[in-house]
Amino acid sequence: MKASIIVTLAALMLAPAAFSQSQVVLKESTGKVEVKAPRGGWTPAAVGARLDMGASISTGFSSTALLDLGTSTIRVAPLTRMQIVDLVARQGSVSTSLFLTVGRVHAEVKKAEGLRQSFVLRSPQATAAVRGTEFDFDGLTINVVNGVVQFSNALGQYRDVPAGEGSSTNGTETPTTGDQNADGQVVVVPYTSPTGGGVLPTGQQQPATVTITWQ
Amino acid sequence: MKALRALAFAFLLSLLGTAAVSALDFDIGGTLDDYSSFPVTVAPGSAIFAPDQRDRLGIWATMHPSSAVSIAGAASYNFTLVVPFLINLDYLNMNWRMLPWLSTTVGRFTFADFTGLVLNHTLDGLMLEQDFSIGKVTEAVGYSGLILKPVSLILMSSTDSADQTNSSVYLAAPRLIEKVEVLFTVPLNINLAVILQQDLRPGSQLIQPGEQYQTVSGLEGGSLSTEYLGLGVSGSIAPSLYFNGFAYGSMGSTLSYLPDSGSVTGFSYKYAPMYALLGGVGLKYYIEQTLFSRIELQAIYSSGNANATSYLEGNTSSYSTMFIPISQEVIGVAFMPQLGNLIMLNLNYSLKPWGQSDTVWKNLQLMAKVLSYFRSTTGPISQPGLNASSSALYLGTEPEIIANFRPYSDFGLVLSTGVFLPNGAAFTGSAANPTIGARIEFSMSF
Repeated sequence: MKASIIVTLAALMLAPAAFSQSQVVLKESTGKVEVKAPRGGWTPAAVGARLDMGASISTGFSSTALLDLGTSTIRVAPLTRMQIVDLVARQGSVSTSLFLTVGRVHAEVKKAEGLRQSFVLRSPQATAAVRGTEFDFDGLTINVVNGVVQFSNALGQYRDVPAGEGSSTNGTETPTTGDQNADGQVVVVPYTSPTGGGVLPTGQQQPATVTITWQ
Repeated sequence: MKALRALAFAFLLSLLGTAAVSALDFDIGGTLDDYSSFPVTVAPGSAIFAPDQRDRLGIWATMHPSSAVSIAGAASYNFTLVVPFLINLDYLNMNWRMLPWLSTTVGRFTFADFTGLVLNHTLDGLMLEQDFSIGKVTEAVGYSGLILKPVSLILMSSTDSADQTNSSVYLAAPRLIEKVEVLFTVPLNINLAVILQQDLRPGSQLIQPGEQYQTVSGLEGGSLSTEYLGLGVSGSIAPSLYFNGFAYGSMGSTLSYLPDSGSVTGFSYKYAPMYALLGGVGLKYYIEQTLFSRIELQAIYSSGNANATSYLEGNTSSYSTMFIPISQEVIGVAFMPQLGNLIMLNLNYSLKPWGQSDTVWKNLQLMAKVLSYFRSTTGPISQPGLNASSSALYLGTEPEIIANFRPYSDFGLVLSTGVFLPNGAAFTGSAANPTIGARIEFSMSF
């Protein structure tokens, strides 16, 4: 009995070292930035505030925030709401899971020697999973600055997006290729019908021709 | 336009009841599209105009009875110079996501292969899509015989061609098309496609094998059934530089007028096998930081038949090598050939001069394009005017200027102009003269 109590106490004392929850720190903020604890209401956030697992952050018009997650940083753009779903540091690994409800974030996930990282950023339509990379994500579209991001839609279909490329999905469409995504920036589609097409000419029945001759 | 839409929506609410409509997540709208084309062939002392005008006034609606089901439909009034009044059902289909990885679409919708060059057409049918982590599998079967003839782009046989000027024919060529496509998304985009097409015309409309006389009263040709097997690969070579490549092998049978010692004419009709190829490679380079620029280089090859007397069903040898796509494609502004005995080189550069601004002009895209055309072999192409005795493979070049402008989400405009400079040795008559083409398209939704 005594031995089992000692073992249990030791286990409880050692557990935090092997399995500890990290915190997110608000490093910078501009404008209106609010945070919500897992069981609380929205309150204005001050620089240095710590967010626990389950907390949410929200930015207003022309407002930004910079979050330090230890091995990664997230710059939160204006009109964004994001929740910290999971942030756990174990021996030799860090697991981060965030949910982007609306808006856009720029994430930089640092590589660290000897440290395994799992960084997952989800939205209602898509998921971005990264290791040692930097990217922009607005819930539908991702643009990768450094590294490789595994970008998947709500059905689990994924595509690896390398640096310099982007991809997007509406949730059920296969994530686009880099050139398809780039076309979204450089190509103007002038057709407004829901199918995206205009009046298709046919090769059939050519209209009559008019010939004009002159001396 | 938004006010009109709101008014239509309110009217519908009053008819159906607010609760019923809102439960269906119903949306309705309208579109107006115009296509005006003015090609002019210029010769010393004369000019030939061939204007083309097409307009479409449509109404569309979508509803979502549940999160897994969506229904969409659109109908339109169509005007062309040839058919001034045509009411068409553009599409009507239901999509049901039965399982997270399985969805089905049934009704009238667009069927296309991964290139859009073999098949890209509205059909009535059924499609199944299975999504898996690294891609998807699509199976589809569609029928073309219920599509109205004036809005059909399926023109594969001599009988299809003759029907275009037959006022007693209202529907498109009856063909059954089946497609299986597999897409892999990692590490590159890899597409595999198998497409089967069966000509369902009854025998009474076709010249039968064994017929000895070349001209048969009331009949134009035979049936044309084809199969296509394709592979495509695309991906990134370097940051902002992308490649794509594809190849299709096609088989089938085509009615051919071949030597026959037992015939009184020395010839008779037989079905000869078809073995044809379609292939292409392309590069795209994006320089978004420089006025959202894009440079594209593309080459497409489609095999031809040196032993054919005409583009459609003109084979005179033991087998045909003419590639025939299922649906036609619009290429060019002044010169618009179809695939089949055609090699096309496309070099274009586009930019958005005010892409960084906050005004409506940020959605203006300007493009300069050069299209060069060659025949794969001596033999016919889809366009008339070819010099039958010429061995020239180079057909001509068409430089174009195109402006795409979408100042608002519900209004878009395209202005295109091009000059086809033909190789005079390849063509005869007026076709040997330059053709200037100009095209205006606008699209509105409300």
